[in-house]
Amino acid sequence: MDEKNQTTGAPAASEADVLLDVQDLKVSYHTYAGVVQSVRGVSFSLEPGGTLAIVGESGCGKSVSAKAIMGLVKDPGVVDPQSHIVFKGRDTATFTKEDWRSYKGGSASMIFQEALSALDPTTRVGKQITEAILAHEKVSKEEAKKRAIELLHEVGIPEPERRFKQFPHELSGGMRQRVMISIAFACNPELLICDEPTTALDVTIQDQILSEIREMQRRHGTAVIMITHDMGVVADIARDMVVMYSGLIVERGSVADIFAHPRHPYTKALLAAVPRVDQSRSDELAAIQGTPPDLINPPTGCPFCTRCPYRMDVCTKAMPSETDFGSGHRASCWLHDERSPRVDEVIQAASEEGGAR
Amino acid sequence: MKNKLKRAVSYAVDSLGHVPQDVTLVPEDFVTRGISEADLEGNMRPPVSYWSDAWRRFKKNPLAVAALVVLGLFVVLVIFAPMTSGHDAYLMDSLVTNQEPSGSYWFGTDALGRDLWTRVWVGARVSLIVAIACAMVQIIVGSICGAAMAYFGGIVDEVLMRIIEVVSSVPSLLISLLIMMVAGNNMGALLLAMCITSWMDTARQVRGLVKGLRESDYVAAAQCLGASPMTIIVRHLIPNTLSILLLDLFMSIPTYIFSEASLSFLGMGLKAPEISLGTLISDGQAMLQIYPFQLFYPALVLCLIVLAFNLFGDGLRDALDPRMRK
Amino acid sequence: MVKYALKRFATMIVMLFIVATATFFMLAAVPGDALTERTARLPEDVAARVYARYGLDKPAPERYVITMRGLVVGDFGESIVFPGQTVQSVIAEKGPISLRLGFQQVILGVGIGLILGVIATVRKNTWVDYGIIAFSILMVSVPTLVFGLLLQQVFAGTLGWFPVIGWPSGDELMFGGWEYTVLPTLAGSFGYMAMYARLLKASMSDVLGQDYILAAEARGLSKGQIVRRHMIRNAAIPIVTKLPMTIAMCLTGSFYIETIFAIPGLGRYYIQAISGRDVTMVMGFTVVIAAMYMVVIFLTDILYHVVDPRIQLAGKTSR
Repeated sequence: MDEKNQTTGAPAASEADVLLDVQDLKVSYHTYAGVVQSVRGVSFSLEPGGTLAIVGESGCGKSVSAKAIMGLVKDPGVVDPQSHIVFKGRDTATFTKEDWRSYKGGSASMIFQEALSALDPTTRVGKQITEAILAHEKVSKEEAKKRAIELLHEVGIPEPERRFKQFPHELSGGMRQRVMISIAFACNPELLICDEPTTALDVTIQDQILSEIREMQRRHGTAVIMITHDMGVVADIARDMVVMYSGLIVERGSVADIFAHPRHPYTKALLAAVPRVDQSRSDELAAIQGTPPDLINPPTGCPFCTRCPYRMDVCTKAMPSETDFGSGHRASCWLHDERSPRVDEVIQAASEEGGAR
Repeated sequence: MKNKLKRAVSYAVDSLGHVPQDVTLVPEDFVTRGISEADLEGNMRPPVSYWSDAWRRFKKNPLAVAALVVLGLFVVLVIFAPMTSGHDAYLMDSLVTNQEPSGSYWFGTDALGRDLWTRVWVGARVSLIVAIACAMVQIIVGSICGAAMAYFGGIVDEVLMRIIEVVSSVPSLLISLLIMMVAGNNMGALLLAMCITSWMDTARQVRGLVKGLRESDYVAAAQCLGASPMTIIVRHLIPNTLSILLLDLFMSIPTYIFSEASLSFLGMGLKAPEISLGTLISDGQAMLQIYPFQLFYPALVLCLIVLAFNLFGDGLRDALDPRMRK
Repeated sequence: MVKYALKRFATMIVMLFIVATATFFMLAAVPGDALTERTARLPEDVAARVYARYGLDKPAPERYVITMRGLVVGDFGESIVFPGQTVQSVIAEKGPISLRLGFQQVILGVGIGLILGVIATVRKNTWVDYGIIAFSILMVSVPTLVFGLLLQQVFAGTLGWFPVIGWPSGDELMFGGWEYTVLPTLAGSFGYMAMYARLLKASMSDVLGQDYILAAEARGLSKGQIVRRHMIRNAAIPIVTKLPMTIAMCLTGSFYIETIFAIPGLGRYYIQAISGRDVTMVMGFTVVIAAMYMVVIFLTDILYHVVDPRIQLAGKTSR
């Protein structure tokens, strides 16, 4: 794998081939129970047109990271001022109000998990598309309407002229998510963030929506960040992935590498939890025991250690550092420290049999 | 020991891959321990029951706590205050009519020479008892009817629903006034007049809740897991409805205090010689131009009680609202 | 739509019939009426003639039939306290007074309430917000009647800025004579101010937390556009649908204000009719007020449908 394909590593060498560079992103929420550290220092980057999956269970901070990239973290939430989100060489911290407006929905857009709640129930869907176009481009209303109907057609909505005039509640779940996609692509964004776009849909629709997103991405040359907890979605759409756990990235690399050789016990467990056709009936589906730690008082050491079958005492004492396995594949786990017992091989052996999907 | 160590380094780690200075790693640290049951448990936040969580939230609201204290104070006052002045609430004394507040008559006296301090607290007692009785009737009748509608469905539901529809198509004040007109100015009539419309809201709420619960996934799940109906009622139905009913109870008490005062003021509530805040305000109004204090004290007490109930109710709502729960 | 309206109208007629029947028999059960006292000292045959004049000599079932027949053709009967007065004549005479009072109260109360609600939302968690919340809780805790008496005592009694009681009449019936209307309007509107300030703030914060506002922001809409296109409409739903009820509340809320300030409106008349046991007038007015109330509820349903496309007129939500 050559250098150019490496999109998830540390800051890339030249700024030209980096679309988005996130450095040490920290987000905390101030609740009545205390300060919840949702994202605790996350770094990754994405090249133009690339696809990155962010994987993790609910509450691991993946959606919050997405909101932070879109500049949508709201009141009780605070993005740490030391965090850097650099889009096309410009730190979003230096954005003016105008910059933000042309960035949101123009250069970068977002698809939400629940299309029903993300569409204004009292506004016709057509208007919600045209207002995105009109917010970024100086075109007439008729022009915007024409474009919106084209977009609806493009995302596979039949009778776009009729749908244009309907209210969100009159559409089916799949239709609504298609409308969300057409809104997201209304202004040819360079970056699209999909926050679990298929979670609320049933399986057959999920597939259609995913291929719709892939098709639109291909046509518009958009870079996509796909947030999901579904390994199937990851395999389907992404080339690179990061695995998040309790506000931290525990493993990153290309999807192929990670699926073949998961280097973090958490990733391994996630992959083992995916049901496979070739699995014999007697094999139980592996579930991960326990729950993620409380992010009001995050643990000192590795956050996964209480659920980790390879836990050592060091894991509770200190955070492991990232180990590089080449071609951008890195994991943060004490097992890769030279002082550890060679369970490293255990991981590898176990995953080789499991990773052959 | 382990705990102590944890605390010592808990602030030292701030970024990935950084081993704190005060942590020295020894070979034993690199022995595989695997998953311990204790750790799996300890990972979770200590489970907080709904009610202690609600109580924790309530305590964080200083206004609501203050309101609770004030309410407690009022309860003490309506019970004991009438005994403190040494005057009788009903005893007329033509020698001391319309006295300004003084050391002997703390709130002054009324046109018939009765001690206002005693009368205000006796009146507040009556008003409170009436309001609480009405609220209880509302909750009890409302939840029985609501539960019956949801449980039996069919004709029972249909009939009760129609009754509710008809009664709620007339302003409740009209119904109260008509009932007072027919049944006369007595306590029973007042209770009936004030409760006749209010139980319906509770019934509707309980009906919706019980219906929703019957269809809810977790009750279905509990049934599938073999939970008996009794368990479902105790574990799911009661906790789910209780907070709403409790809220209803406390939110409706100030409304009843208002209604009683208002009806009495219109001459359609309790009548002399009965004392309530309403009759006192009504009496006070007659003397408003000359002796404003006769209106002032009962009105003040009324407003304070209602204010305390409202603040308490607001705090209770915020504490009980599960949507606020994190 | 038309079918729905017709269906609702039919239901309304049935309900009115039930309300009228219930009211009639309740009134029939009242021990004694206004005539009992008046005829107490009259010779028996004169008393009987008085009763016969008002048709009160007949047994209840027969009177019921007569009354209901009258209702159908709009004949509510004659007052037994004030000879010659009918429901229609009283409404023609006193209706405008109550109408003006109610109108002024709603305009002032809802208007200022909404302004306060917007300010409290914009200045969230500042002393302005806390001040408005404190004001509204305080106002909700002071009954209209106490507030009316207080205003009367301070501004009319002690300060003497306004007349204590009364209402403009003649040429000034609908416009002018403001000094009479200031205090009653204020007294009645403070409750609405508090209510609407709280309601608007609650619905605004509710809308603010919705995903579609976040999505609108992610689309690149400016704050102003989000407020204008998405917030106002959604936040207005509970407000607009509460309005008819507020107007209906004015119907009965004015009972107190009209009594305190001795305003010769419908509310005060109704109270007097009840205390005077003027059964025919009470009967007539109850039916009229109930009818008005039902119309208001009907309008509320229509309004719901207009402002929230999710609500269908069959009364079901499509969600």
